[in-house]
Amino acid sequence: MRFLIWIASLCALPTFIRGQETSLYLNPETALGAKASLFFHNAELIQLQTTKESYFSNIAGFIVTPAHFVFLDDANNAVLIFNNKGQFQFKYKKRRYKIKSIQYVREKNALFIFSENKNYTIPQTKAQQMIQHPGDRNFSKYINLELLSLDNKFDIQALPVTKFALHNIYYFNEKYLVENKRYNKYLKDTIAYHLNVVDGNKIIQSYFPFINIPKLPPYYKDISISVDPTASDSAVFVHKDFDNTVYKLTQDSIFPAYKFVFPAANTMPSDFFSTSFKDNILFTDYIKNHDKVIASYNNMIEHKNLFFFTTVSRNWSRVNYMFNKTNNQLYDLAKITTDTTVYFLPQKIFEGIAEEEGDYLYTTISNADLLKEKATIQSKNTSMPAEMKLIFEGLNKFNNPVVIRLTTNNIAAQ
Amino acid sequence: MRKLLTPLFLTLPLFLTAQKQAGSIKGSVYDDVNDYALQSASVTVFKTADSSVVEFQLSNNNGEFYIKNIPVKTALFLVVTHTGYKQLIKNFELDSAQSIKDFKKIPMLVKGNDEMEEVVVKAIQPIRMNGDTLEINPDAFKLDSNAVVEDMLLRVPGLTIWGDGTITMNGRKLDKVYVDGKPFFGGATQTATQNLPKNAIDKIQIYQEKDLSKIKNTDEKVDSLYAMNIKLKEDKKKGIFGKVGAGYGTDERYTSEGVLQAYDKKNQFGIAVGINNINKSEGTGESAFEGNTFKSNFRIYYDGAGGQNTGITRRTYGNLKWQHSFSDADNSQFYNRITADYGNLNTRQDILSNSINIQNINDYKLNSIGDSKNLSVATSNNAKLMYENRKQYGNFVNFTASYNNQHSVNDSRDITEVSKNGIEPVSKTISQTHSISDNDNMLVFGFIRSNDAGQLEDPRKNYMLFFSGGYNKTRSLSNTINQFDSFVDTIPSNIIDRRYSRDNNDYHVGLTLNYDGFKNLLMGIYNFYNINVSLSNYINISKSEQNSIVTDLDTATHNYIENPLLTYLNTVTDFTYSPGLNLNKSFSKFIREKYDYWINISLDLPYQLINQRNQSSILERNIDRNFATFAPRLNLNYQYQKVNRFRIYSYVFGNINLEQPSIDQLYPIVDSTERYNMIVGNPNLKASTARSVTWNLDISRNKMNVKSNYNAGFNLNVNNTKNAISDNVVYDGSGRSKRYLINVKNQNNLRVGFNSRFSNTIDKKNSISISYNGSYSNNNRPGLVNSIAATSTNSSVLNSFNIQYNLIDKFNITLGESVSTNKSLQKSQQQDISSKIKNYSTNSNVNYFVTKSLTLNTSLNYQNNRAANNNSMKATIWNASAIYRFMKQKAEVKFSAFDLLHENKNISNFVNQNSATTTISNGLQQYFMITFSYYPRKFGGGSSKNNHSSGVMIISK
Repeated sequence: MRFLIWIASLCALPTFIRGQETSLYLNPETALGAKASLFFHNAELIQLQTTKESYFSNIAGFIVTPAHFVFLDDANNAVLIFNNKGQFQFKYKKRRYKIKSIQYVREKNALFIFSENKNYTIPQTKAQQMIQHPGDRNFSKYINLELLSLDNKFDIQALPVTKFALHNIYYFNEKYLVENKRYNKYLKDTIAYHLNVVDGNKIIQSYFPFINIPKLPPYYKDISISVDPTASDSAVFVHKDFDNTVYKLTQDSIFPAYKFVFPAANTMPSDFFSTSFKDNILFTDYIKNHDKVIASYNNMIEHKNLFFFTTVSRNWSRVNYMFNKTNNQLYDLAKITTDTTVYFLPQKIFEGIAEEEGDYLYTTISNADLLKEKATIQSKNTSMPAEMKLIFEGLNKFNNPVVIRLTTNNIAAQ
Repeated sequence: MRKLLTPLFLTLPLFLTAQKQAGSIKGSVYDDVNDYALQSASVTVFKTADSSVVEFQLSNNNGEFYIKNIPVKTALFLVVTHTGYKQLIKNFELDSAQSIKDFKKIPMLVKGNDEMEEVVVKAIQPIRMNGDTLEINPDAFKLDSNAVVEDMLLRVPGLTIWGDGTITMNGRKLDKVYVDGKPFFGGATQTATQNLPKNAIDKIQIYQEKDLSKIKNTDEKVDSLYAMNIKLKEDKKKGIFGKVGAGYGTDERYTSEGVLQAYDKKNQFGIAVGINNINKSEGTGESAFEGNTFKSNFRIYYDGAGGQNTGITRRTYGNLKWQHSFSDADNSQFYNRITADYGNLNTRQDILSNSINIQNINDYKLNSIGDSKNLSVATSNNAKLMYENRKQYGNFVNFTASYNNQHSVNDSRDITEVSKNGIEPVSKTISQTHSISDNDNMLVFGFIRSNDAGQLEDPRKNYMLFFSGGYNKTRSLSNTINQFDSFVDTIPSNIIDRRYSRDNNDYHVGLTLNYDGFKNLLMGIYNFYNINVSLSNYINISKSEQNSIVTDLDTATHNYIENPLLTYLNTVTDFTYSPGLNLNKSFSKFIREKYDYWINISLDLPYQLINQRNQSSILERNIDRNFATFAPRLNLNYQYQKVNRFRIYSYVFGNINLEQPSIDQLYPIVDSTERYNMIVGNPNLKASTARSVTWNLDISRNKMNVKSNYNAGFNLNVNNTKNAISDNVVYDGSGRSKRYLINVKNQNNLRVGFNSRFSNTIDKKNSISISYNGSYSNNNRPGLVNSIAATSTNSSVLNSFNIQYNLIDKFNITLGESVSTNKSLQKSQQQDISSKIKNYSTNSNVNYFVTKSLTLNTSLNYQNNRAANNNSMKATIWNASAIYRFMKQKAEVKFSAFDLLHENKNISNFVNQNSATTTISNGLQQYFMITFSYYPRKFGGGSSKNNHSSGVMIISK
């Protein structure tokens, strides 16, 4: 066992990391607040068209492209496409398939859609076995990979299905990033990798090694990898659970983009990955006793000098942060207060910042939430832009949400 | 009396309106440098005199606060704190009521990195969401050092402790209470909440937990319970507490108990001993641990334990309890522990009763007057061992073994006089019985479940195994002398002097094996429209051996001669095998911030194969029969939740079952000492088919941080039995009945119930809760009386209403009223006979906390029992007590009085089919008692006196 722990320590060495980055010491409890006007100088409201076909319930995915707003509705299993004026354009549904994720491929101006056949439920261990021993299986029976062109015709192009699509995959320049969450008994090697880059059915690069033996953390619990897009198709942000570094992965290398150091209470002790837990009771207890530990980062957006991210702790509390690279200050988006620059729109719009495109940041708000504060907003804004006035007059709780386009000011651009 | 109490209900609102004059304050908290509003800044108002917290609030999204209920003409100060900012203090005083003081903009200065915290105001927020867990912070409640967890819970916004001890949080019932993730001395709520000092608590967590008893193939949260976990501070993870007390009173009444409990991270050990002759069964034996808590005498709900029970009972008991956790992990989801219990109980019960029974026969009434005297002494030993293990989410192991033995001696004398229409005597029976019986019982049961609910591993390995096995041995010896005098028969008198020697040996083994991986085995990864398919198997074998030797005194020879009709050997063997399929499917939808629903349909399709074999020395009782039937079950669950509005939970359960007639219904052995009720079997009886449907609906408010909460429930149960076993009752001239068992086409039962609860926290000190329960049941049973078709219908209606008002630390009152009506109607071609009884009961209980050391309690129970003949029996039981605590509340003297008005009578009325019975029994008479108790308590190790009370906030100005 000592030998294995030794190997683990070796594996954990960031040998793949290019260069040395400065660590940023931050305390989530003292994350700052600010008036909206410090970072924003305008907000523009775009009401999404509501028709019988375009009405949707949940936002499980929100993508802004140069010309479109795209939403994934997991309650109705559909992708809805609106133009950037809010007019409904196209609805994508696939019979017998459950849409798991959507992704924008800038180079092709297309949506990558990953969906699973509803008729099959593949347990994770079975998926590992099928990947390891594929035989002559046709994986397109279980998984569907498509590119939906965002030009006027909304053409659909079916992509060949790699065997790795039984795991979570991410489209990456005609290759895929594959997430490997847990211990794999079908692998003969004692070292496995949480993230692999695959070309078809072949692994071409691997990152984040771990010891592939029972009783270590990826055995009792999944260790997830989150992948978020950057402004370029050729790079993505990558984060591994319990690691406070956000990496940037390019075609051939990975390097730390942001290396945060949070207080001990928010950081998993280093012995976590090398401790062999006797049973799940001790493992769960260990996790529970570190319930403030930041487990995962997602919703990572880089906009000018601002870096947005959401942390999820072991106790499932989610906090949305904004990091200002110019002065290394960490802001809690829940502490940003609304003001005249954003027409006193509800505070929650800042926590909902989900996308960036060009010079703008995008967030959404429901008609119901705007209705609740309609009177206050109207009373605080003596002059309101005509479009906004129109939207406020037409508010209806059965309408689709409103997209808010936020313009950042010079501080963000410095 | 009831009329006297009614105005109390009406005057209650007066208490509620008598509130103190109060004003309010407002303002907004700002960052002084950047001029932006600070949300969630803690704004607390303290009294200058003693630094006690008056009110607190967190600033809203715009940094604003508005605090009501601020006392006027009182020196106060305001403390504003926010992480990363220097704290700010402002002194103020409101001069008149209705005044609003506006602090306007309160600027907060950012604290330098090297500045230490000047103020230790430990997290003022009393409740907060920590991820998916609601946390209650004890430090937000300033209470004295003797306060227990319950004292704190009474002050938690959104939490209600109901009159029956139930705890709800924001309308959700908390079904389980844990201490550091483990059941605390058996798991009764009050053992933890009324013993553990508030100062020993780190935090209280409220979360959702799976109900293991309902767990099925699906992995939805609907089967979950709400649990409360009391997390102890690190230095309080061991403790010892208990009670020793003794009381003596007039009329030779006495009570004494000693309870000692100790715990550490892995072990819990408890011992309880006691004796009393005040009919107290609650809080004795195994329940002594929950009935003798540090605050048991101060609880809001008071039930006048035991006093009004039938007869006079002396109980002597000794109990041991031990629980060992193999891991000191403190989460309730996963565990590995063993629990052992031992109990010894000696009960001596003396009952004298007088009953009047009226049976309506076709054209006359049969009146029976019975006098009964019964003395029984029983000694029992119970031992129970349980091992529980759950290491993975879907994997459980539970193994339980229990052993019980009992020795009992019973002496009884009954006299029954029967007359026609109350005036024409027809018969009389005098019966005297002495019996001794010994019983040994051993039971082993458990379950193993392996279910990969998360679909991470191999679902083909999913299974569930339940097993049970038991052995029961009873040996009884008895002697009955029974004299029957008929005033109408040709043979006027008959005396039976009979001795019984009976040995019974019963064995049973049961096994249920559900193979939940059946679908995956057959279909692999194809999910068959997400319908889960399990294979179920149920096998049960039971064997009962009876050896009965009965002898009768031959008056001529004065010898006891064997009675061939009652002396027999009999062995019944039942074998049941039930193979079947279970189909299960769930539908759900979740619309963020709007609503979600979940529907689960579960259909069991088993086929029942039953073999019943009876071997007996009585020839006709030798039978061997087989039954086979299809016995489906349907279970439908529905949950709907509208975000921030309400939630609904509903289920429908329906099943069909075959009920075969027992050997004693086919060929009964009739004992001639059963003078008035003889059963005549029917070898041609067919098996009955019972069909049952139950519908349950619960609705409750689903809103956080509101003052009022409500919930309501409705349930309906309909039963129909085809080929039900009924009887033809034939009466002879002496009033004796013979029941000839027959099959009738249909027998129906209906039960409808409704319950509702409402609670309102008027302010931090005052709260009110109201509950109502109503139920209606109807039973329709066709049969024959003297061979004339007669259908008897029994119906009952119960309405009960309860109101409780609590002024924390000062006063609480509970008022309850319940009315129950039972009606019996027998319809035949000749005539309709009906009888009706009605019971009214009004209860009130008042606790008045005169000082922290002195408490007065009084309770009144008024009963009016209206019998079938319209006779009304009324009684008012008035009890009172005064409790004085001293030596830091660890010592207690209690003076109590039972039945101050000398009216305790035990009256019960009963109607069924064509008969109505009123029974009056003996019971305790007025007594006064003085009790001394001492409560040893020590939590944490070593220097506990230096431990600072966490409830105290230290303010430095």
